[in-house]
Amino acid sequence: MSKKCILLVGLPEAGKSSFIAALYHILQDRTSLDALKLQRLFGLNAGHLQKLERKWLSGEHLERTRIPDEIKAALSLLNPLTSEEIELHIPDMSGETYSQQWEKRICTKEYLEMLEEVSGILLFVHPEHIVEPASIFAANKLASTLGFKDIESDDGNEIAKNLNLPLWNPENACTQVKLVEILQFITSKFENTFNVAVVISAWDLVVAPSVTPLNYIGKRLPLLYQYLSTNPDHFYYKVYGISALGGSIDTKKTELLSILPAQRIIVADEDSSSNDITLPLQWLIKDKK
Amino acid sequence: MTNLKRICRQEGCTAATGGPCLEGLSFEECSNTSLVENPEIEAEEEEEEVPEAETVVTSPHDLGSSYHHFYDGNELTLDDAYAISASSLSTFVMIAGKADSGKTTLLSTIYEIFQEKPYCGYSFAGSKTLVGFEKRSFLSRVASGLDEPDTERTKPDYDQKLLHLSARINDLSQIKRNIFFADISGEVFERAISDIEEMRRITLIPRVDHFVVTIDGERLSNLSTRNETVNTTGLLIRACIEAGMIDNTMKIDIIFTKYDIVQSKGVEFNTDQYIEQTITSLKRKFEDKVGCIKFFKVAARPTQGDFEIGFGLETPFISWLTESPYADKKNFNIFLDSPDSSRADFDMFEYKFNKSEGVM
Repeated sequence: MSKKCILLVGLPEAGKSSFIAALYHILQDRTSLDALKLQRLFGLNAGHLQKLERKWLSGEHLERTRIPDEIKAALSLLNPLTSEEIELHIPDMSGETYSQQWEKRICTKEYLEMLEEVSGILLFVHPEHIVEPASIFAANKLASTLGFKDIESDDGNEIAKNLNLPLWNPENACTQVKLVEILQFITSKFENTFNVAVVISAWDLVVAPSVTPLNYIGKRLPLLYQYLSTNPDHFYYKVYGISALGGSIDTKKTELLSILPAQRIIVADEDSSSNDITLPLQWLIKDKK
Repeated sequence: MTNLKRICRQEGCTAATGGPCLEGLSFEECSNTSLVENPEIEAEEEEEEVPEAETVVTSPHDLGSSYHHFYDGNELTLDDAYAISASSLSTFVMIAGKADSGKTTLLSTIYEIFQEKPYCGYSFAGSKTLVGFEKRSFLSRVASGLDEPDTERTKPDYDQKLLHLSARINDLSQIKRNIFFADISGEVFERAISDIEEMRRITLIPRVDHFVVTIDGERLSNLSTRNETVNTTGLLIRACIEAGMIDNTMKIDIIFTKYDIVQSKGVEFNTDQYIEQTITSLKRKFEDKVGCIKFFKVAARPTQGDFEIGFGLETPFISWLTESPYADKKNFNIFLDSPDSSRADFDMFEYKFNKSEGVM
């Protein structure tokens, strides 16, 4: 049996828990002949997976994973196409853990030990929770174009400064900077090449049909896209758009619950679309040489 | 470290020692678990050896686990920069000029453009000083609450602190290039103009590949400040030469900043013409004393007219990223695209160091 470890990386509310709930369900589902199959589940907080799955099945909102709830589950899987048995470790770490890496510049030693063994990284981004680097230059230009305000405000800054402006706070940095730094922390400790599947969660929210997951990242997170593209020695990457729920449970709950759970999942890459949420895992653990 | 330990009252459950909870709950949710005083921990800790290279702290979130500290993301020391530069092609750039002449804005703007898209055919490939850049860019962001973009004044100290940016040509046909920017306060340069010893304290100057001097376009657009501004620039370059910090190999770039203001408020006083006269004058004074002197008109963060962000910055940026006078002088170009580029960098730094120490 080969041992594989997949690390889930993402800031708070990036969609990691929804993914893991859907994945856990699909791995137990025997309807698809090609998908990876769950043989056995073990590890720390493994019971939490069942709780997540129950909520996912009934279309409930999943709570954010808190640091004490981090799952260090291991799954024994069978690849029906190759008959290969895989021991898959999927530590689901809280988004706060990754925020802390950026804000406090720390990580646990356990995290570094885990990285020594990882076969791949699932990097999650939620379209609604991307903080972009909104510049005053662009905002003023837009406001001027729309005729909303006079951009030549001579004393605006002086007035604002006297109102005790908030100081720079790392918490408020934009998403792409935080994610690049989290990846740079990895490369500062390890020289090997990591397989990274970037997952844009809630893909159903990205409505434009011509937008592929890759060009979505290029547009919304250009610094991350550039960083991944220019560092092939460190990262071999692919981008997926995944909707673990298949749509908004606030507006489409009845519709979503009326179809089989496995069929409401949306998985898109550059070339195709399917319901198989194990595709990123299969890509991550596949030998790239 | 806190002296609390985890316990579970459920028979056969190993949740307290890291195993799964029999109830399938997290440690905090399960009613059978709690944290209790553990006087043994302190005694054990005294005997525990902490590795010298690692900083160990504890978090209330995760009892008993230790943490690793990453680099802080702020400015680099020269030693840090040399360590990074050994792995790739690197150039060092110092931006000098009077206070509020737009020095920090120039380098912040390059970072801000990379946040939006690749720049000049190069893509962002990393930075060990993201925190330093973020702090400098904060006042140009909507999140700062300002109406107009601004840049925080650089602290007036002599510490040779550097910001780092790595970029790679878009088609990846060449290896990454590092660029290190020395961000030194305008007040330091103003003091150094009249005191040669102060100038010699800026020890990084002879080691840089590009010495950039900013001239505030807004002050050139004002009749009462323009002559003094140009005069100070001349004095600054002269002081560097007289202190032996600049010689006939140094590439000097003179940047007329805030060019959007020159093209709006400055039109009334023929500021463009005044700039051309300034270029002629500075060339005549210094062309034969330095390796090369070039002039650029830049509106990094324009507030007037239809200028794009980073107007005029492309050519100097490419030059800063890719050209090194030391490479030219010692035929290091033969290494530039070779896989053994680190060798070229070591040789370059050895050369620069020897030069700055007067060995060569």
